[in-house]
Amino acid sequence: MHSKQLFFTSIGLVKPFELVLEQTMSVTKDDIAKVAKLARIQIDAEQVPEITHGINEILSLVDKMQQADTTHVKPLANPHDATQRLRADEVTAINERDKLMANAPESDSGLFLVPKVIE
Amino acid sequence: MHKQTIKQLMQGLRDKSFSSTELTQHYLNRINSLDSEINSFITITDELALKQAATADVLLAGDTKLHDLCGIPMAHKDIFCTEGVRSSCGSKMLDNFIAPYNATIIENFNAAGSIMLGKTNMDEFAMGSSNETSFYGAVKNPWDLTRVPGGSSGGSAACVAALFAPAATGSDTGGSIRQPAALCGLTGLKPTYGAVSRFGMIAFASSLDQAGPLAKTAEDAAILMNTLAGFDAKDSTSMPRDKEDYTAKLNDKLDGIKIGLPKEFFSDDLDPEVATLVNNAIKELEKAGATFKEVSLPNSEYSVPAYYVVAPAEASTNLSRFDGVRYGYRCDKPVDLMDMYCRTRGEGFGDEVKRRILIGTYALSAGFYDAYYNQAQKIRRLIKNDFAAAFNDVDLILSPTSPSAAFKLGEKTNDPVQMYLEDIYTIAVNLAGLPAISVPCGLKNNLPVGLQLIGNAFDDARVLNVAHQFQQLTDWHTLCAPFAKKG
Repeated sequence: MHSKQLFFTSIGLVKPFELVLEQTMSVTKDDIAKVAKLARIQIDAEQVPEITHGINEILSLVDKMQQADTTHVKPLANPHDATQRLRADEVTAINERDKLMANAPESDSGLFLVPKVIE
Repeated sequence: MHKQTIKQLMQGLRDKSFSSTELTQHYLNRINSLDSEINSFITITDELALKQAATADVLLAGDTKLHDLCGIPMAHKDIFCTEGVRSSCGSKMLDNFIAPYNATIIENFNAAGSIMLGKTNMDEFAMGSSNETSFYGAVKNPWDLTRVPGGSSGGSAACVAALFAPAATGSDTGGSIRQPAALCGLTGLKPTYGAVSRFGMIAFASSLDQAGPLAKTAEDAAILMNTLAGFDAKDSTSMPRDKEDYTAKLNDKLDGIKIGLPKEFFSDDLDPEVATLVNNAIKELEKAGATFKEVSLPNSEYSVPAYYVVAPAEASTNLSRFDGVRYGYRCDKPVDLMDMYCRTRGEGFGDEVKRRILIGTYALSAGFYDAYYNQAQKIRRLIKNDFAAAFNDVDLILSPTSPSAAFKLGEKTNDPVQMYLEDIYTIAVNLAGLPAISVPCGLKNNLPVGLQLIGNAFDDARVLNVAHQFQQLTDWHTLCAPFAKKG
């Protein structure tokens, strides 16, 4: 079913029906354009088919996960099951504004400059 | 001089056979005359290195107690922030980034009096298994210049194999220390998660990333671990533990040690030549008193799939900090904020990094979180449980490090899945947070092959012990890459 899905995307058709998307977990070119926007990454239109193909190859590798029986298994976020260690709320940092801002692409009087946000 | 191990160089410095300045200049000469063929360095820090060497020579001439690494030159992966020195992470995004502070491990090496020769090449943001995704170009394997050194710590591995430095630091998220160590004939340790501070190490996948050493011998790796490891309040994942001497157990005998062989890693799919070399290593260890037993890691088949959800998901969040506002690359003449973000990231990141950010963003997006991220995290627990069950029966686990020897440059660049399968034997270790080492165990067509030893959490010293004992029985680790004979 997966290769069929790849075929559909490679000839530029949208996904045939939602069920296929769920079962094979593959993406269309439209999905990729949407995700790229969410990730704030500009992608050239002519690159989208190739990227979509590459990601679908990876998703078909990832798909194998669904065969694992994980009923009643608790997710593991930290390999040692450790919880976030917190420190006391004390001032530890020294003021190094100039040093930290030396890498800024554009700055003025200790402020980072960005394109105009509010008209 | 450049053929010596750290252990030997330490002695040479103390015997006044050579000074740190002479040693440092010798390595810098090799790098400056030969690295154009290997491309293992992104930045060479000549001036800083000679300044540090002069300071070390004063200490070496004095009568104060010397740190092991005083006067010893090192190369550091360009993933570590180094104050006043470009810290690029192999990316155009950070090509102009001069770190305003040192990573904790860099501070540790500085305090020890070690010398920084330069910053080594790497896959962009440590994403890759061949060092071909670097903005600074591919690195060549000193064993065969038409082949990859492995990745992502490919520059670190290649520079040690080329004898440009006696050792280097690396980082390992899915095999990025062990696989290049295997492909370049070196000893590379991924320590237990939380043993080495990650403060100032540019983050890829925070629940997996761990820094460690690439060296010529397990003994050198243990010496380096004494400087690398230790609790750091600045890293919230650093484990509070007493300082440990990683060299203490090196000479323990192997009598009575039980080593597990995961049947899933020794299936018919295993390359027959790699299997023969690994079996020869098993026989050597048996002669030294180790006993072997089959164990099972039934969920290991899910480790690569789970990794390629967890790692990109964490990368997509970690790399959101590169927005063109505070540091790093910014696109030319942005028309508005959105345009600035999108073009900065579109132009600043390379293809593999973009691919992983997109996968991660997709896996974390509404409606897919449970099917991907949550399922992957559940599989992580199954994998951890598999290891825990195996370690009830055995002290260590042995496997190949990599499916084969070094592959050709360009061979896998167009096939991400084939590239990802390079890490099939190493990834489960990161998911479970365990320590593992790769040591050379033979040659296949004149290219090095690595053997992996996996330990239980915080059993790094025992992993180093068995690796060291193996290196007392064999001389694979003493073989030199043909290129290293130059100069």
